[in-house]
Amino acid sequence: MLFFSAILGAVVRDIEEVVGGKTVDVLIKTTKEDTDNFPPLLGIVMRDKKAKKDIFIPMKAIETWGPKEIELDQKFSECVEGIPTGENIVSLRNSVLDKQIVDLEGMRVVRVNDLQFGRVKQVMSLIAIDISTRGLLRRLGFYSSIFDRIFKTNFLEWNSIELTDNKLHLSKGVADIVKLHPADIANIIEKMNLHQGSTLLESLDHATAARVFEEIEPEIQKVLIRFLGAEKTANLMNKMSVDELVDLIQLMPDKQSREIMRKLPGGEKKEKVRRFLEYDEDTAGGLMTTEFITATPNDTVQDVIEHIRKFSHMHHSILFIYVVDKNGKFLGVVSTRSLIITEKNEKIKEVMRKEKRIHVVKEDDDIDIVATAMTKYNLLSVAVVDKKKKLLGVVTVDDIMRSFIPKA
Amino acid sequence: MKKIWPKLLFFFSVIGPGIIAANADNDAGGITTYSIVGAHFGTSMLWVLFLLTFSLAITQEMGIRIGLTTRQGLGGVIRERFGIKWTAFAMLTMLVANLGTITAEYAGIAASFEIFDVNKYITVPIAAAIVALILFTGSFKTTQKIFLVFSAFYLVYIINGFVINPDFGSALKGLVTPHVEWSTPFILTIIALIGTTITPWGQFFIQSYVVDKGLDLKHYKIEKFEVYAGAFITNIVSFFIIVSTAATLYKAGITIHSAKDAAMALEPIAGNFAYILFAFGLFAASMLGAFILPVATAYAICEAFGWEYGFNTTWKSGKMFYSIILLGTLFPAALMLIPNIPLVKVMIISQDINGILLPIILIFVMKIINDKKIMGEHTNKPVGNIISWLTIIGIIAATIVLVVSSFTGHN
Repeated sequence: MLFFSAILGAVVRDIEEVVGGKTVDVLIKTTKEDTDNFPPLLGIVMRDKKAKKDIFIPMKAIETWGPKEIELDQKFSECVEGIPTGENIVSLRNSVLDKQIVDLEGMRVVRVNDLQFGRVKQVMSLIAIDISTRGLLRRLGFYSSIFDRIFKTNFLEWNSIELTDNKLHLSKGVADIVKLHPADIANIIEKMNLHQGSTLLESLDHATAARVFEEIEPEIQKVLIRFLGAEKTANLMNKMSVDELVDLIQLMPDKQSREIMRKLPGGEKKEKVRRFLEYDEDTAGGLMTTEFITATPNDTVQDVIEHIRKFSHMHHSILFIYVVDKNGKFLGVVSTRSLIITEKNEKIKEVMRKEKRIHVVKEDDDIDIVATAMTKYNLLSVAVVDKKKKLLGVVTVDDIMRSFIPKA
Repeated sequence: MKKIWPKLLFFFSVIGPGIIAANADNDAGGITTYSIVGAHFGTSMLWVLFLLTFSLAITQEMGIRIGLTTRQGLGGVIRERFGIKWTAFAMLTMLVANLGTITAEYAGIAASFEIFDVNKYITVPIAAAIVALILFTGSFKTTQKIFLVFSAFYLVYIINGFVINPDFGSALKGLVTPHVEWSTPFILTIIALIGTTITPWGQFFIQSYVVDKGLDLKHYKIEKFEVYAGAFITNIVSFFIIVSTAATLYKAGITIHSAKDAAMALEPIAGNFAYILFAFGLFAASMLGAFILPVATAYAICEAFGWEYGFNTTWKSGKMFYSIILLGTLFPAALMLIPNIPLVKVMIISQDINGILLPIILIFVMKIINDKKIMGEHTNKPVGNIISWLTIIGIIAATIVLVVSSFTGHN
């Protein structure tokens, strides 16, 4: 195995056996298109013994990569170039080695101890990033096979990491990071320091940022809000779902929550939040979400499917459609499954399960009552209604789980 | 008036690190060293303390400036600037210094109970168990606050300082009159005095504190004021400990061999209650150090080497983090169980080790703070550089004198 630690400081010898100096850096080129590949090495930077300056030797001149020695198949005078610069040219020594990185797979922040090179399709490339204690010891110069047994190898692939060193690297990483589940991004943010975390959060688009923010631990949420300030936070919160937003506002000290409520843009959402805040957290009213899709009895199946297509992005999951009359009185539910299997022009009132045969809960029912009902009747979600049977919201099994196991 | 309130609120929201770091300076090693300085040498070493106030303020200020600019702990910055080998060297230096200091904390715990004839074979294991229990059950922050409040005990020395009505004239003269005796005990005590006032761990602690608190360069002015105030306050306390012991023990010709001797300095204010008061203060200060130091050590090492750290890691992923904390608790506590180990000497020698190793850490700090690539426009001004280098050179010179004098046998 060829390691960067063995290349750094290696003497460079040309075809006439002249020693030009020692290797001080290796450059790679990263390309956006083939992120799945291993980035090829561009060449080495050598500290010229006589001229006391750094020069660049491209890959094509290098014949062998011994540990501690690099041999060229040309004379120095034939191959030396100026050190290339450019946006996608990365100095492994200055920008990668010893730096903090986010391991997107392991979801943690670690430090680069060593780098491993190897031939991929005949091209010498950067294969892996060594974050193991073995790499640490190898760099320190006490490497022994005994350590192989004590410390495990721990390699990361280049494409599974992002540098957290500064803003630039972070924003470069965002394209990749949004592929992760919001909860996983939240995990990364929780492990970063406040600056890195808020930078990452701010670099996400508003919708993703809001989803991520919902998943962050309440304690850290509070700190982040204080750090970002009411202005930015209100923007972020405006994209959050009402029930998560209510949970969050309930967590904050009175003064701060009032300020955020003030900054929150007016409209339906703000009204809902205001109404919600009146419910006790451990009741159906406090648990419920108001984000669900409704239909009227005279809509056709086709109408409802169109509606779902149009608005599905606004909902976490759509398992049921709630049927209400024009005054908001609860009439019944339709599962998405029955929507799929029935004729398109059939009326909703023909398809729906009627209110009388469905178990509902009241807004002030305790969480235990709600949970018991859902378990007893095997419900994934349950409608919350007031005394006049007006539909107020829906408690989903997620909401119940969340309040029983808040740390997950 | 209207404008003052928001400013005050802002001030109190970021206050903390400087005061905590400064307060934790007065730990077991600190209180013992200052007591011995006063008891054995009267007010003749006060000039060193006077100069150290500036050194402490400047070095702590550099710590917050690096922290606010790089947003990393000192270990992390050393790793990125100097590479792995220098990092290993710096971390080893800090580890040795910190283990020494933690040993002094357990010596302090043992000494405080020996005043009541409670055997160290009972107190030290129990204290270590309590520390481990609290650290591993995660109630670190609350406990830290409790012991911090306890350490307000030092105010007693200030009041005591007025009660005994010492010769303030000679004390003030001592502050500005350099006086050196070319003997091993004198030099050894001076180095301990330096090493207990400015510590390697304090340098790491102040920097990670501002980073963890998420403070920004916009907080710089307030933080700067705070560390300056912290340096001043901590050395006021030190000043009164020295003055108190000088006016009582030094006058009576008593040398300090045990905590009981040092406690006598509090008799003017507390009478027979002095022993209890001193034992309580020493115990609280030692416990505070015994908590903070293993954790601070583990944070710095793990950050530098890229191991996962923090109390939110699991046992498995944070293996190294927890191992270092455990090492930093058990090893020093075990050392204390060696029969007949002289407690007061352990406390002084550990501060000497800190003092001798301090220049190494400070040189790293100086290299970093004058590096434009890292600090940008926030590099040191000439005044800061001069004071820091004088501190470094002063300690190195004292160390050389110590080595020479111990070889030539000037006792």
